[in-house]
Amino acid sequence: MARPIEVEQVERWAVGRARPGALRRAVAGAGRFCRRKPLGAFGGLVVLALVLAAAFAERIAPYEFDAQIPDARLVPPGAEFWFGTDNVSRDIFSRIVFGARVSVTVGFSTVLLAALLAATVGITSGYFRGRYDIVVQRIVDAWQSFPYLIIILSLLAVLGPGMLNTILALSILTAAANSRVIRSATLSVVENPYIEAARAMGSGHVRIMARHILPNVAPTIVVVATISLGGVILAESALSFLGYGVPPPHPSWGGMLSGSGRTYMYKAPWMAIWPGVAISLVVFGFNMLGDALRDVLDPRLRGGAR
Amino acid sequence: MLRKYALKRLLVAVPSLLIASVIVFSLARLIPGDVVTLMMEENQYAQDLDEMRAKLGLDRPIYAQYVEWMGRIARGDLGQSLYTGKPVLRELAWRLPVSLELGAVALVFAVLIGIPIGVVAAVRQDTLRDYVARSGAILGLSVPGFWLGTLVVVLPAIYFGWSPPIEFTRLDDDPWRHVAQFLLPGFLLGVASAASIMRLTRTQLLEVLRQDYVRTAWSKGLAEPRVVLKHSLKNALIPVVTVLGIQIAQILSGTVIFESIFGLPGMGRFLFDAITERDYPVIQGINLVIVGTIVMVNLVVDVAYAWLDPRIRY
Repeated sequence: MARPIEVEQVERWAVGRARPGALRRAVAGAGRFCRRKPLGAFGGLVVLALVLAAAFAERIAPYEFDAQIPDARLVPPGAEFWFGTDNVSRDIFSRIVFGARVSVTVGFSTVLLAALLAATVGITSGYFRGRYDIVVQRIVDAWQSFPYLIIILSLLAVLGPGMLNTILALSILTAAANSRVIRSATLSVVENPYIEAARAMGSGHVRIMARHILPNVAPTIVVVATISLGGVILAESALSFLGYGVPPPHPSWGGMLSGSGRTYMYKAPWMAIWPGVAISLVVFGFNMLGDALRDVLDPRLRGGAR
Repeated sequence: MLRKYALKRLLVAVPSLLIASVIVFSLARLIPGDVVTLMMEENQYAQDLDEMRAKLGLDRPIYAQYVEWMGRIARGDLGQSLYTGKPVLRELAWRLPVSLELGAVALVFAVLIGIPIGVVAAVRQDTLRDYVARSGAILGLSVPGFWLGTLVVVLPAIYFGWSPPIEFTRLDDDPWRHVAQFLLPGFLLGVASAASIMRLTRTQLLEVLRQDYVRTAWSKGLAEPRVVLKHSLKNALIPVVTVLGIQIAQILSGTVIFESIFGLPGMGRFLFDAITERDYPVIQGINLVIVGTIVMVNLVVDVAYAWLDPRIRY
């Protein structure tokens, strides 16, 4: 699974490739990032909290996510149960903490898979151009013309619900959109004289793409991946809400808002509130971080249609 | 010139539509074999495997199936529901308008909210108002619509004993209530799009405001509203038109969720029910209609773009 993109790593991209002894510069860079982009730093903090919650869910959560606590049905939030309990006596705070694991797994696997796909498609499409490019771009067009929720629901109707299928379906769709951006970055990199020099020295296509183009479009890949993370987590929660994402008993935030719980929300509004707060906060964090990263790493992308 | 461009753009739309139709067509071919058996046993869609295959159109060579399928579509036959046996087209004929109404209300809200706030944020760049608007926009993109929808249904019911109507009122029964029932879901559905439109309006307007001709307008002594609204906004809004195509796709996605929450019998709800029932002909039919709509919308948007901005010629 992808490691979280931490502020240091990000700054390392911004100040150039990491060299031995660059730690101090990276820390200074992180400080600069926080000063210049306070909202981005806040987003990074939310993301860090999410990843920690996912990694140490067993230590943080007071109960197991499926533990039914005796005599604690529909208890309002309070000192004992911070976020209250649900209709089958489970601690909502614990379920939210464990739910972070679902969001992190789906979010990062999807984005990693999508980045791999998008980089392959985008770089080859921008490098070879010509007929191959035209055909590939028409296919990307066709994928993009489907409203995301509708094509994914249809795919899941065929493949069957489940976490793996959700990741597959979401990554194909994310990859289509991201490959566009990577392709246009490749188009401008290809124009550089060093590409021609590499070709003159007898480098093959694969070598040129892997050694010369990939490192130069890497910041773009990181930025579009970070920006898509929020959207992917939002999409996963929407699918789980509709009952086609991550199946129970795994606590997905979207799933907690759907199904049998809905009828009890009139008696216990806290069941409806906390999962939504968690989704909003995390997606907000990713969006803030993504925006700040884009400004720092790849200002050309500013003002994109989002 | 413009007509030539429109024709060229139409020619490009054809392969996109064809590829999309292949994707939709392939959907039913991806169904795992055990699911076909399940469909037979659980939903009693057919007597035996052969009949099931025939109903799904899986009993002939694949290219023949595709050609036949396309032929039927060209004649306006989108197939029949396995569940109800009714033609998909007849069902869509009254469900599509419901979704279009919901989508139109959402789009109107998105534009009415997004553009004015975007203008204020750009004109007052880096002030408190700008920061509030920008953070609000990101928040609008982050808060899940289905959660807002749930809260709007649940919370007023608890605290005020009021909840939005979840019975559908037809236009000829009560025109006012018919329109009113779309306002709340339409507004919620439009929030995310409003945020996107606001962000784009802001960045585009900022770019235009820095141009020479705007400086000229200022130095002629024109008042701010005139410089901003008449001279700058017109040019800044041209790219905003192009994202309307993307927004319409987003809004169509949202209809699945909001029609389910608010009990509107539209196309999104129809699709969701079809997915639950594994009613593949319906799924295919709806997907095809939606893709066709979106390819056409994008075509219109592109031509409108070229018409609004004569500098654009691809």
